Parts: sequence; structure tokens; C-alpha cells
Amino acid sequence: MQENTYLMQGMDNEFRPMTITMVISMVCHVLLAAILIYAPISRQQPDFAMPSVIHVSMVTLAETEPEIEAVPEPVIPDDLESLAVSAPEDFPEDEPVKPEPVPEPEPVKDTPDPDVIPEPVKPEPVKPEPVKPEPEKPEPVKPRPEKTEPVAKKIVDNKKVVPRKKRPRFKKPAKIIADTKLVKPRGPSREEIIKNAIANIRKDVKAASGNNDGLAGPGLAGKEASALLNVYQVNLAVRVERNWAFSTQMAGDDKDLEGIIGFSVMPSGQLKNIWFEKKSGNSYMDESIRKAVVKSNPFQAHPRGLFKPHVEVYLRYTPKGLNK
Amino acid sequence: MKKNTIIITGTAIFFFLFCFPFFAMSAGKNVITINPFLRKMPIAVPHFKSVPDNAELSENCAAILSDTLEFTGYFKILKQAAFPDSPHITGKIDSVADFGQWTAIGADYLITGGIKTNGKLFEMELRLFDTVKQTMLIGKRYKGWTVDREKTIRRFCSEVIHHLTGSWGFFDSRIAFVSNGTGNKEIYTCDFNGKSIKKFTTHKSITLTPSWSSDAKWLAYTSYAKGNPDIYIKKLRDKYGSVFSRNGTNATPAWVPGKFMLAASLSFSGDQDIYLLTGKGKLGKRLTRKWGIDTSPAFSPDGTKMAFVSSRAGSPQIYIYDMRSGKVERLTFDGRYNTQPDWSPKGNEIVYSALNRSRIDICVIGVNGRNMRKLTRNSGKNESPSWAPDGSMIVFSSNREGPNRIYIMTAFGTDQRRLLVLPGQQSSPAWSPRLVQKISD
Repeated sequence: MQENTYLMQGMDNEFRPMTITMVISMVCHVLLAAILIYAPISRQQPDFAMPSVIHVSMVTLAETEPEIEAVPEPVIPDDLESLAVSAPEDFPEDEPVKPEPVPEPEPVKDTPDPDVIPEPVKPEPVKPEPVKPEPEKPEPVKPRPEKTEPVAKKIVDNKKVVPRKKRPRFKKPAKIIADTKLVKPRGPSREEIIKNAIANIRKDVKAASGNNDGLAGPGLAGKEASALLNVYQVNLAVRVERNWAFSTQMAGDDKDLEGIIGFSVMPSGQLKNIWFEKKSGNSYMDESIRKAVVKSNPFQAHPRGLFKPHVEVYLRYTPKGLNK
Repeated sequence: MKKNTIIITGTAIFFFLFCFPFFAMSAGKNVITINPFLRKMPIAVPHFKSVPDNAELSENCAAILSDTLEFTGYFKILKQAAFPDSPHITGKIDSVADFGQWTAIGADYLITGGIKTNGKLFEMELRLFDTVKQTMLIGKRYKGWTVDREKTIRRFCSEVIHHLTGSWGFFDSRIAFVSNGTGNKEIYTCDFNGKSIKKFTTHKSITLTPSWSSDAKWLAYTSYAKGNPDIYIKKLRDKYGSVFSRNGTNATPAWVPGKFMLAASLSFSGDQDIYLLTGKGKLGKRLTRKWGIDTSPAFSPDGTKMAFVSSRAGSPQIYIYDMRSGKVERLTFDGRYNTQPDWSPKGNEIVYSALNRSRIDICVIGVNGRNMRKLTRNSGKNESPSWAPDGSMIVFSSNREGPNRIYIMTAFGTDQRRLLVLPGQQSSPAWSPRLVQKISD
């Protein structure tokens, strides 16, 4: 009895910390349960369903898809006419790219002497206004109730709002592969590149859903919506790649250079913002990729069925594909 | 104490459980890897505006500008047919109405030019625009004699290269080489692009291995004019100079950067070693002492080190001699025959010719002995490489088309092409430093 009393006494002394521990434990369990409930919704996000990196190197694509006819290696055309893109429209207001007024070079008044080098008059240095893209922080994906609805239903709802005629034509991935012949060719092997990229994405989606059904989200519509976004992103990436001119000599033959640039595209296809997630360390290379993104503007409009205020694309740019 | 521990532990668990999903979300970006589509900078050079109107002149000026820039390997010159509007038609060269039209055809840069001729004088305006940033990067106005028109355009090209790369290019440099077109091996010089070829020596004998002084005013070479291989040191302007002659072989002179001094391989002592010579042809310090043939010295840009070829290990290999400490380190180990080193103007690499499996190719290796890369492959015998003054290109000789000719390529082995066509065979090219020359010389 004395022992019991002693034990009880000891428990009285430890009662308060134990209570705190139990309360914290309960809170944690409740939070964990809440997260587990909401977690499937967040997993519907295409980012989780897809692999983190999709390689769309024009060379590797030809090798990765044996079921598709062999894709010839991309050939740099002799003239850049094939690279021609539609004339870019003005930037949106939040992208201040304005040419500064340029000072006129001062004329040299001295009479030229055959033995003296006519000294060129240096114009006042023109300071190109640096484009400072406001890095848009990636919004944390919040579980939204409408995400749980099948995408097919959303398409039906939006048809009421947006007339079909004005919607940009963008078919579902399964049909796109079949219809690539109808798309006006923009250059050599572009169709093959996109076709392979789409096939890769479909393969990845299939693999992801097959390996873990819980990650792919409920229903086929979720997968297709995710694939639709990814196909669109790859389409944008291919367009930037086709506009990316990069001199090996300028970069000093450092093949290990690598950076990540992000940009967002509005539903109309207009470039909204550019930012660097990670700079390569080589200013020329960073500038060349930024130019490629700007030259690619305007992009293709958002595909039908994609309801986002803007689409963000992240490109890992590297000169490794050179001199292959 | 125990209470605090429990609280801290609880908070940490709470933080982890609450925040982990957000970390996972931010890490889940879909990143697509892309590679460059074009390896050069696309640039548009429309015909010049000429006053008075002269279509041939305006086309000719644009062609000179295009050819000069394209020669560097940096640029892809866009075709005139694709241009939206030509400044020589619109008359506007000082501004661009719609940059979007130029980016639409793929141009990253645009150069507009105007030339006004008045008798033997001309006035030229040239501007470089960044079509993506929609700004003018360079604007220059030149005046001069019409005969200097091409040099003036080259000068603007130097400005363009300097603006984009940070170095002044090589448009005011020349190349010396050996040609036997007359039946004798004589030294000739030409512009960087193979034009304006001039015969420099008239020894009517065998003349070899020209070497430029660092001010590009002197040329040293080996000649058998007097029966023995002697070293000739001559000024380019008046061909005045001196001769270094000793018993045995006197060969492969190379100038010490920034000094009126050179190194050469001499065998008067019985063993062929490298010695220093004054610019006036007097013998100086002996640099190498090891038994075996030491030859082909080439100095680092700062003059503190010297690469040379030695057979001390049995086969010719490239070594580096430290001018301060006198220490020698072997640089090349691959292959059994590595010769003709030339130190890059940037100081970080050495180009040389390597014999491997009965092929002679041009290779580049870091001065630390790493990152060796072969620049020529399966294209005959490629020898005597020499760097351009900005380190962006390499000139060399090759028999890939039969006779030995002079070829050039970028420092990465791309854009290999023949530099010039002359009777006979050409060899031993040596690219000069930038010439500080007048427009009219």
C-alpha cells in the first residue's frame, strides 16, 4: 500500500507534463489525419503525378521511342527562314522592355588625314534598361474543392462561358498524335519532336498511374488534364528551344553549364513574366536563353480544357546538346 | 528542464507535420530540359544606304561586313531575301521602326550602315542593334579615304566583337606562312582572311618556321640561305635585321612576350638545347640542359613559362619550362609523338600536333595536362597549329585535299575551312598578334 501510494505520488508529480504531451500528441494526430484526408486531392496535381524532369533533347527523343518511326537528327537549316515565328506583339504592361532613346554619334569634324586613323567618335554609352522580371513565387498548391470534380465536367461548364469558336484548338493528347500531320510544319522534325514528347508524357502518365493509383488521382479525366497541361508545357519548351541560339565559342566550351529559367504564359499565349530559378553562372548563356523566351512570344494560346490564369514553364537549359 | 524539452519536441513535430506537404509541393515543379538549336548568333546585315545612290557599293559594303563577321564563327548571317524592310530602301539607318519584324525572322542582332562618298573621301555610319532588347548597342561614324573602306568596316567589326565577347578580335592581324609556289620555300604574309598576300622573303632557299614578335613588328625565321640553318630576325617594314649563325642547327625561333628577345633551338654545343637570344642576334642564357633534342619553344602570354618539345623520354613530347625556377614538367603523355606547341593567348591551353596511329591531328590540352581534346579527325595530316590573337580561332596546315594548304577553325574545332589558294604547297602558319597599324599603311 505504501508502495502504491508512492507510485501514485510519483504520478501526481508527472501528471502535468504527461497531460501536455498527450495534448500535443492529439493535436499532431488530428493534423496528420487532416493531411491524410486532403492529401489525395493534392496528389491530383499533375506535378506529383509526373516525373520531375522530362528530357526533350531533340537527339535523345529519337532514341527513346522505338514504337515511333526513327526521327532524323535535327538539322540546322542553312537559312533561318524556317525559324521564323509570327511577329511578337507588345509585352504586357508588367514586362517593361522599352528601348531607350539612342544618342546620335557626334560627327568627326577633323579633315581625314591619310596617315592618321580617323578616330571614331564614341557615342554615349547606351545603357540598356535591364529587364528585371519579378520572380513570381510559385504558389503553394492548396487543396481546392473544385479540383475533386472531374475535369470533363469543368469543360462542360466552361462551354457556357466561352464560345467554342473562340477557343484555341488543342486536342486531347491521344488525338494530337494522330493529327500532327495536319499541323502546319514550322521547321524540320518539329512534329516528330512534339509527337515524341507527347508519347513520352503519355507513357509517364501511364507508368505513374500504374505504379501508384493513389498518386494519379481519381478518374481518367484527372490524368488527361494533367497530360494536357504537360503537352502544352512541352509545346512551349520546344518553341523556346527552336529560338535558342547559343554560340559555343562565347560560352567557352563549358558543357557543364546549367540553369533553370521560368516563365509564365497567359491564356492568350502572351508572355506574362520571366524569371531565373537558377542562373548558370555564365551571363552570356543566361542572356541567350532569356532572348529565346522573348523571341518566342507570343506563344500558342492555352488549349481548350486548361483553365488556369497562367501556365508556368520551367526550362533547364544546358549546352550539352552541342557538337553531338 | 524536462518540461521545456517536451515543448520543444512537440513544436518540432508539429512544424514538421504541418509544413512538410508545402515543401513537397514547391519541389514538385515540372522542369523540361532543352538544348540550343543554333550554335551561332543570328545577325542581319542589310545593304547599306549609299549617298549618292550606288546599289553596287551598298551591297559590297554589306557583303564585306557580313563576311568579316561570319569568318569569326560567332555569327550566322541571315539571308537578305528574308529581311522585312531594308534600311537602304527606307532610308532609315539610325533607328529601327519595328524590331519585331527582325526577331520574327530569327535575328538577335541587326547592323545598319550608311556610306556617303565624296570623291576619294567617304563618311560611314554603322550601328549595331539588339533586336530583342530593342536597343542600339554601338553607333560609330567614320571618315576616311575610299581605299580604306574595307579596313574601316573591319574596325567596326572589332567593335562588335569587343562588345559581344570582351576581346577585340583578330581583324587587324596577319598570318605568316611558308609557300613553295616559286620553287623555293619562302615566307609570305596575308590578312587574317587570306587576302592581300605578300611575299616576305626572297632567299631562294629553304625558309621555315616564321615567328612574330609580340608587337608584330618583327619576324624571326630559319633559313638555309647560306647553306646552314640560321636564324634571321627581320623587321617587317624595311626587312632590316640580323642573322644568328652558329655551327649546327639554329632553328625554331620564338619571341619572348613583351621583350626584344627570343628563344631558339641550337646545337652548336653538340646537344640540341634551347637558348635565349637577343633581338640583335646575340647568344643569351641556356635554358634546357637535358640530353636529347629540345626544340619548338612557345611562351605563355606572361612569359613566365615556356612549352617545348623534347625527346628526353625517348619520343618527342611536350614539356613546360618554368622561366623562374628552371623546373621542367612533362605535359603530354598520350601518343608517342606530340610536337609544335603553341600557347593560347588566354594562357590556359596549349595547342599542338599529335601523331597517333599514323594520323597527325591537332589537339588542345590544358596547361595542367587535363582536358585534352582532338580538334581534327580523319582529315589527312594536320600540323603547325597557331592561335589567333584573341584565342578564338586556330590556323594550321593540312593535306586533307592533297597538297599542304593553310586551314583555319574555331578553337573548338568547328568551321574548318581552307584559308587561301596559292600555287605550290603551304605550311608552318603563324598568326600574328594584333597589329597596331594605321588605316593607311
